[in-house]
Amino acid sequence: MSCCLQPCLTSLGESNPMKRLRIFWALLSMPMIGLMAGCGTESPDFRVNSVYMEKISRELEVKFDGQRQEDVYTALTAMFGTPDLPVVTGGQDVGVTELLNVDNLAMAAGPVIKDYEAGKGLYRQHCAHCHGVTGDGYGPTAKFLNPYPRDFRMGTFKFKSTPVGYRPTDDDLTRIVRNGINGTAMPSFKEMLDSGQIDAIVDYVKYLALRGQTERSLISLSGDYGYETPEETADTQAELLSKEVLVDDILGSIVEEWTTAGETATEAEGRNPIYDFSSTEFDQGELDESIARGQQLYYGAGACVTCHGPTQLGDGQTTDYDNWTKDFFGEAAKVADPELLDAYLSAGGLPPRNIIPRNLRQGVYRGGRRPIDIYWRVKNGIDGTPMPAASSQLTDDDVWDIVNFVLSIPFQSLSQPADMPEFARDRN
Amino acid sequence: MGRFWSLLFLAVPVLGVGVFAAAMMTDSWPLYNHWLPRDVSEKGYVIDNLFNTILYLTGIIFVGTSLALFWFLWKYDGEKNSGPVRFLHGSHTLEIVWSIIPAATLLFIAIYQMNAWADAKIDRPGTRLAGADGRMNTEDDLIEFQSPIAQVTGRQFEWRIRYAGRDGVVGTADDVHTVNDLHLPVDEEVVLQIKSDDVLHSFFLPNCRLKQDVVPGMKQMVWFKPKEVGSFDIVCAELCGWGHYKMKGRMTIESRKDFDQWLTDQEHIQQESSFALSEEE
Amino acid sequence: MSSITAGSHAHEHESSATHASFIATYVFSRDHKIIGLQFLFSTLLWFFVGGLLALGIRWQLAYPWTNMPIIGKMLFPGEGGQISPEFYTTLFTMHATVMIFFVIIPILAGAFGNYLIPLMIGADDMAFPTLNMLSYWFMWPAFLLIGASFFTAPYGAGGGWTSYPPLSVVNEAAPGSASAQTLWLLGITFVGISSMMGSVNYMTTIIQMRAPGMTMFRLPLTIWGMFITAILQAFALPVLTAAGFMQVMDRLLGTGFFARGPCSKQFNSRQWQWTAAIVAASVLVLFASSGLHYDPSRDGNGFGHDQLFCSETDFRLQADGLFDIRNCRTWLHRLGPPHVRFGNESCAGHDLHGFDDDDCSSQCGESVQLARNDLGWQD
Repeated sequence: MSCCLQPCLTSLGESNPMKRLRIFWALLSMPMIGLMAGCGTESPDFRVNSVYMEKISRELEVKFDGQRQEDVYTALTAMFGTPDLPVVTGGQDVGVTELLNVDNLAMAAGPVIKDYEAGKGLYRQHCAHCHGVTGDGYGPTAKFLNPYPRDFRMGTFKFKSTPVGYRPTDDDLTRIVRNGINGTAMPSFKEMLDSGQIDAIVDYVKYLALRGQTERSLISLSGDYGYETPEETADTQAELLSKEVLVDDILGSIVEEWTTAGETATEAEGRNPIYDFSSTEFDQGELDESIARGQQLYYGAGACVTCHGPTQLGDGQTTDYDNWTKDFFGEAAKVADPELLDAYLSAGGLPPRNIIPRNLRQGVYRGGRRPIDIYWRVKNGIDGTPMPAASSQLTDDDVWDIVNFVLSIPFQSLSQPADMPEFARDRN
Repeated sequence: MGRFWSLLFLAVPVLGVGVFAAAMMTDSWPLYNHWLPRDVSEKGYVIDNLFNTILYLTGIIFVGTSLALFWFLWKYDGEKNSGPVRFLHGSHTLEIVWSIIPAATLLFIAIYQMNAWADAKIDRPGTRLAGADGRMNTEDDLIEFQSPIAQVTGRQFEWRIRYAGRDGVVGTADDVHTVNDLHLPVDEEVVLQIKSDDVLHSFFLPNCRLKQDVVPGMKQMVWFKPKEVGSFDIVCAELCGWGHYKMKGRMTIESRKDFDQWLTDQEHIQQESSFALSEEE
Repeated sequence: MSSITAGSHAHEHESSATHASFIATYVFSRDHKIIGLQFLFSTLLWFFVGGLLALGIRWQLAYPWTNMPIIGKMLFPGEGGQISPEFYTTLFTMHATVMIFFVIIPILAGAFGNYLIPLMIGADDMAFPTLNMLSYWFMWPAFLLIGASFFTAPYGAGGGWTSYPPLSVVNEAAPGSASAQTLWLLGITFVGISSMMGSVNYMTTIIQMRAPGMTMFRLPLTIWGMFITAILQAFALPVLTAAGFMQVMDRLLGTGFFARGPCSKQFNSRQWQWTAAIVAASVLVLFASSGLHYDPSRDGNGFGHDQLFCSETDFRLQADGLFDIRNCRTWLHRLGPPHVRFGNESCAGHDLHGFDDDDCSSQCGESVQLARNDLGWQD
């Protein structure tokens, strides 16, 4: 560029106006050409799970630097590829193909290319902004959001049909992507993506969860091995990074949890009493009785009142943390430990926030407002949060009573907002 | 040299008109129908007419003045004219004329748009009832306003829609909730109540020529009468934060029968309360 | 005619006779021409910045979701070189801000007004030279504050140049703007102060400092345009400055001027009241500047120009006046009756009470849900 700049600059004193005009245009267009001709940039990499490494290194008193960390991530990259080229090496041996479609991964992964209507790079276009390229809930927008975006790397998801400790089903993940999560920043993608694209994103989320879970297992396993001498290092590498350990043991058990998730979903026989205006069996009196029973259970055997509060405003307790935070701290009380908090923040954790029980008077149901959704919440509890499963003493009918009560709270006169004046216009 | 510049000035009206002409040409290179989106609302043409009237009015004046500018630059080029310059004292008549014409034009536009504004913003659909004097069409007539079919709530960053349900009242237990998915019956006057949960949004239906700022804390009504079946965009037209671009919904206009069916289906989906594992698993 | 030239000659003679220091002459100058040039070059600098920002917007529109070459990696490492949505809102917020507050206003009123008014009315200088100097130097805090707001982490002010509440007031609404939005608002307050100082100066100069024989109706049309601009600025701009400062108080001190309910419309009304006026004002200056090419001293007819002047000003003046009155009402049209009605009626007492929660919520009926953690009504 400098070679053509020189004659331009000297001829700026040119007296011929036509020529001067041409020079002007040439000068003006140069930065643009420079911008367009510039080469692309490198793709982003998966972020290292430094919070978990910090935790393991504190527990086992080992250091995750140098060879130890390099080995973990070399193995991980060999297994799962890069954000542009996701693979699950050796996955077919342990049944990954049952879990997700490799073509879908290619559709969701990669950079957002110019003709994005071709339907590539879906994850980075729609999700990575909050959830991060790694699926660690650490995208550029993450720290502005309350609640924080989900970190997929623990494989734990809140709103699902399966009990606590089990993986979600495909339908659960699809429903969340389609409908969004009311009351959070998670929007509905129903109108933005077709069902094939949503499937691709769900598969990619599962891929990220697999990768994240494998990463965690590998890190905690690696902490047990020694790296003191060259011989020890060679042994460790031979043992830890073998196919048996990586694929058969670690990946195999993780994949199995996911593929069997569908069988663990909690069944429900229908809302009791029946609540369907179009049905002839609908009986308001029965429903009112059920609501009254639910109210008693709320304050009594259900023990809902301890967290959701006597007024259902969600103010029973407000000092707990979710499992994504407690994973590092161990227990809620330790979050206040300044030394631990400092270590957490400097390892790249988002500032911990209390998890607040739902205010039931608002009629905002994050996991969905269908009776079945509420039923699953009450019956199974919410994974990753202090919300427990209903105690075994409660029968299914008791759970339905609680569901009916919960669904009626927003329509109590106490919950209704003051009526807004209507903004009628006069002709003027 | 002056003539070169006059040609440059001539390019302004030529390109200006050219861009508009290219935009108006449907399905052709280079702009592929960048003109107004398809109008599917009964009163949409009123807004279009208003737009076109002002466009043609300003277009004619723009082309006229640009051509005059070109002509003077061309004719009175300093290099071609060596004669003495004459001085004009100005003309009272001309000045009166060019002051009155714009004033009259403005007045015309002000009056011409009054009905369009009233249709879109003031005359809410409803039934007229006789007032205190017991007679119809007098000053004190009461109007029983048509109740809204649904409530649309703007929220960072989606449109939450809440149909009135069986009792026809928004805010009760039988409401039907959807997100970004607005279905409406065709050929019926539709009233929507719009409100905001957080910041200012603007409810914009380009195909219905309807746009209304959604102000937090205000309950506002918008109305229109869709006349074509199809699927159209809902967008937000007021910067509402970083996700403003995502705030896109879909409006489906369908026959009354399809609409009722859809609403019943939604109601059933929303009441879903049983779940059974499929047999194969 | 002769009085005009005599005036400006005397002025030049005077300034060349005094031997002031470099700083007093060129930096903290009280000379209207130097101040005019200072305004001109500052605005041209910002004009360039505004152009670059527009380039960024255009880049994103032309190549959506692509990595920006060369500088992309440097500017947005988090996205791998892409313009992120929130940076995009910052881009066009800052583009509009720079172009409106740092280019259109100072270049038309500040640069041309300062340079031309004394020359064209035959005055020695502006009526208040020190105020004039201050009006320029009060732009600098604005330059610095808004410049700083662009670089304030996590991203700059992104509330749009209209700065509509609650997006611009409640922190949770645009959390990334954070302190950048406060800096932005403070910057706008300084622009307001600077413009008010300027407009007071222009009005006084035009009314009081005309050369003998230069009656109001002999004034060139350019000066009439600037005069009306100054009036508009003097009466409309304080509204925006005050509203902007009230937003700052809402953000920093927890007052509730615009934070809740339809009170947010009050700001919109204020914003448009001012905006319509400033658009009108800018157009007026541009219209009137067409009078610049006409030089009465060149017509060679000592008796002719008076007549021409009278006839032309007389009618153009009426046209300008009409334009002005119409535009004072433009803001009403932009917002439509409901905005104005409720903006001014339902919360009329709210400005004064500030914190009076009952007053607002009873009128507005509903609190605004902003934080995602269930503060108010939703769904």
